[in-house]
Amino acid sequence: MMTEFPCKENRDGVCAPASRAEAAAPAPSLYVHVPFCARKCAYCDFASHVPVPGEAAAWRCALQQELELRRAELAVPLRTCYVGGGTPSVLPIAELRGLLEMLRPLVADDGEFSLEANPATIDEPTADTLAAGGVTRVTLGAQSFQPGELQVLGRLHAADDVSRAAVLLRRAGVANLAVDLIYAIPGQTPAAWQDSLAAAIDLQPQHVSCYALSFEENTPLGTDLRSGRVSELAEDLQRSMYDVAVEMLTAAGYEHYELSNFARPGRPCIHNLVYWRNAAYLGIGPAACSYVAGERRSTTPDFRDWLSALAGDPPTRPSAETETLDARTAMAETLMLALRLTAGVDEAAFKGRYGLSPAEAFPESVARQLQIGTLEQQGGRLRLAREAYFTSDAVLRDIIAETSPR
Amino acid sequence: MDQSRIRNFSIIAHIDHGKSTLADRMLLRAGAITQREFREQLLDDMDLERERGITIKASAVTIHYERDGKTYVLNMIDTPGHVDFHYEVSRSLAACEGCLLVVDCAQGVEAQTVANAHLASRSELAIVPVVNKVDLPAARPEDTAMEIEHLIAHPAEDCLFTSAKTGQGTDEMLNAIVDQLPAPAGNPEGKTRALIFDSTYDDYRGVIVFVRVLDGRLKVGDEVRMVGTGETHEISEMGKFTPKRTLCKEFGTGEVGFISANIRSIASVHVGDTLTLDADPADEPLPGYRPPQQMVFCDFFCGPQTQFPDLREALEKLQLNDAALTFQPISSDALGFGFRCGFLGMLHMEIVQERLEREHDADVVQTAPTVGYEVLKTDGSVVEVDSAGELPPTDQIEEIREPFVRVDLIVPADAIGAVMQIAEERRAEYQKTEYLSSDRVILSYEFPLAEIIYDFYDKLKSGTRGYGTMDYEMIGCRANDLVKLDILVNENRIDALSLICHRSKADPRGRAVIQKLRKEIPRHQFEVPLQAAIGSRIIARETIRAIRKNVTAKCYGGDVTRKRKLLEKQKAGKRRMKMVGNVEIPQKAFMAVLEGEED
Repeated sequence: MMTEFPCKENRDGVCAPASRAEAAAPAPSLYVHVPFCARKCAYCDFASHVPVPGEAAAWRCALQQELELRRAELAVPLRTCYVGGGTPSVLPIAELRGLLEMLRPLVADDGEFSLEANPATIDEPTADTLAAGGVTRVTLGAQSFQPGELQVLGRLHAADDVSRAAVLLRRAGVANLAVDLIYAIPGQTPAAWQDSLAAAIDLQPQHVSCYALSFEENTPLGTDLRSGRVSELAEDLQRSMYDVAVEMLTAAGYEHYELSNFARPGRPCIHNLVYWRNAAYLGIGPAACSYVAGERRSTTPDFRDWLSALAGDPPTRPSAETETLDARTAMAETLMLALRLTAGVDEAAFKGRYGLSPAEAFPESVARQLQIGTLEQQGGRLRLAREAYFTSDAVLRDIIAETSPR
Repeated sequence: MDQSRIRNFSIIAHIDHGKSTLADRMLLRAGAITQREFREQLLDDMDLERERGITIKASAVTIHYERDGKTYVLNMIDTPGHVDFHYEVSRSLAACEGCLLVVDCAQGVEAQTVANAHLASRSELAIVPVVNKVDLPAARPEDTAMEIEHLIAHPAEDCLFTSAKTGQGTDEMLNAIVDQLPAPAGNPEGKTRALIFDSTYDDYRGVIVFVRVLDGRLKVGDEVRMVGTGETHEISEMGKFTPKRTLCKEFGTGEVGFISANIRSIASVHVGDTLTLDADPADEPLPGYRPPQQMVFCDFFCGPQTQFPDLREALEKLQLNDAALTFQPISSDALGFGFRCGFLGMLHMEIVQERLEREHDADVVQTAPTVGYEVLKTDGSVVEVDSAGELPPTDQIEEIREPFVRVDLIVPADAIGAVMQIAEERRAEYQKTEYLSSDRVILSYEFPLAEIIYDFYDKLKSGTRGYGTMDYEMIGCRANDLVKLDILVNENRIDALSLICHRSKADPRGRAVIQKLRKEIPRHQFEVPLQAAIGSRIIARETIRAIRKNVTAKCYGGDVTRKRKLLEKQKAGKRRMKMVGNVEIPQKAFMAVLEGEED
């Protein structure tokens, strides 16, 4: 089903389609969604499932069709390509190889070619396939190094799988490794969290992400929370866990460049920076999102629907929800995303892009948050105050609330 | 028309004691309505009244009743059924020579019935007691007749026993009206005096005025003058409701009906005023007139969906058929522009608020109701103050006086203790106890009006297992040790939350308000201190803790829309908030000042 949102009137009553605010150029970034997992994790509400035999091959064929249908939206050679999911590393070797062969010619030689992997799925042939296929960066979904916590999360891998995978990947030639961690897991103690952080730092990855566990509806953990089988950690405890992560990782030489992301100097995730800078990207695969020429598009998360559209003769574009952003919404989204970066947003660049500075576009909320002290201005940049990192949604909500005329 | 064949009467009854059905029974018996029409409550014409089971606007219905070959004209004058409309009831009774006192014999006599029965006695009306609902299984007709005997010294055996539901006793009731109630006395040759006892607004005809001619006559084309306001108008149309609208050319002495005279504003028609002929005016107006008196005040501010001009228009429209509603524009630092409104009582206020929302689609932020105070200033002048914000500076105040009401409570004897405790908590002064029967008593108190405008009735009901009823009457203002209690949110004094209260109550009241606010105001990114203060003295303090965590995970795979929608959804939940300084205060919090200290 196509949902076309009408262009909204902005505060001055001027109807400004986003295509005027956002360049109509093709995207130099590609996201590929692999909708398969070996098993669903207890907290995961992303579009993924355990594949039946043959499904992976069908997916790859359809993906090829989708890429061709949308080729015009891509600026090749790509600066970044990110294969996520799901669990891309769960693909059978042949499909994985085929996928990488399809994508590699699109990526610039010095481009970032990332892939997400479950530590348990990395064996020697897989590691070699990734390296041979041109993958430059692998994100290991470690989440925790405590067996009990991994069990609560419903993770398939064991704690020592992570270091084993890291060794295999490095030996195969993938030098740029990222480790994802989750904290505020029911039952987690501050000491256990520090242990996991220390274990991640020990692996010397180029990049570490730390996300507080969120309880999504329609996930086993979400259901357990509602029924009271598990409970969320106290806010103060979560906050101190966040603070200790920032402390340990920066002490270990990682730059705290985004609210939840830390990287060795020069090693941020370039692809994720595309999102945070609200730049253009194309997404393919079921449930993939795109932002090209000021239009947001979310492809149907229904695997069968997606597949049947692309397997048709001739293949057609899968259904999607689309929204053409008006200038104010585009500005709000840009701020919403950029304020997650600890460097904040360059006010002059923002004005160059939209004709208004953030404080001009959202005078009430920006002034209010500056006054409260949750935002600060320094060196021509507008950014979150360190104290506001853990309550950033309150700031963003205030700005979003000023999007539509009251 | 033969003056001796006219009977003017009211039906005094508590809500739900069967007044409307009895009236319909009489109309049916006299052939004025059909069986099919019978079930409809002809006298109540606003939805709201029907739903609440009360009558707000009085009107009059004329029944032509044939007996022994003679036609009697029975004018049934409706009375409002709620304590807020005391004065209106007294004017309706002033238009009558008699009344039916109807009591539901499954419920017994209730406080308002007592008050109105006493009003009728004082006005020297002939009273016909009617014990209704005798068909109910829980009926206690004899006990009820005894209660009535105690109440108005009318022999119990002379009560009529009726069932409006089955029709039992309808003939006896009609005969009693004809035989026991006097015909109107008035002088047909005297100078014309007619009593205005109600008015209503019609989009086509303007104001419709209900009158009772006491002396002389009125006819179409007469230039009439309203003595109280001095306005003159020419009668363009007159008639009666039978219950159909029926026009006529003239009202003689003793007659009741409506006139229209191209009057555009109901504000110029006051219940209780005297209508006389402009060319030949009466020397003396009718006694008992007083202009509408507002007892309860509150502010209506624009909600998020309503603009100030729309709210003004809605109030103006409501005022067209509600002469007792007053409003004037005000502005609040916290809530922006709005109107201070005056009402006859709490129910009147609720009705106006509901009608604003229902009939005019206006969403309003309502502040806590207050009463009207009198302030004697040090320079000897007296000012009227209906909100804490209007108080003069403390050093200019000699004394503050608050309105008192006489309250009669009818309660089961075994609930006396509970009720007395409730009364004591509310600064009431005990007057007397009267036994209505062995198990029901009338407790009389003098209350500060401020103590009964909020949830007193609920407390009374719960203290008496639902059996308690009350009536109140204004008895004037008295000086008291009253103070202004200020509420500070994040160090800002919030004018809309200030209140006037008795010094002895200030501390618990302040604490209660602060605690209520702590529950109502959401946590912010910073600590929000709440304080209650008298002048510069802080008497209560609370702190709303800051939010410690409010952050969502990354926009996975670039799903920016989902994240934005999530934030937008949160924003939608905040719509019924007012931003004061940097603090979002939900509209509910503005009613917090009403909370009793025990909550």
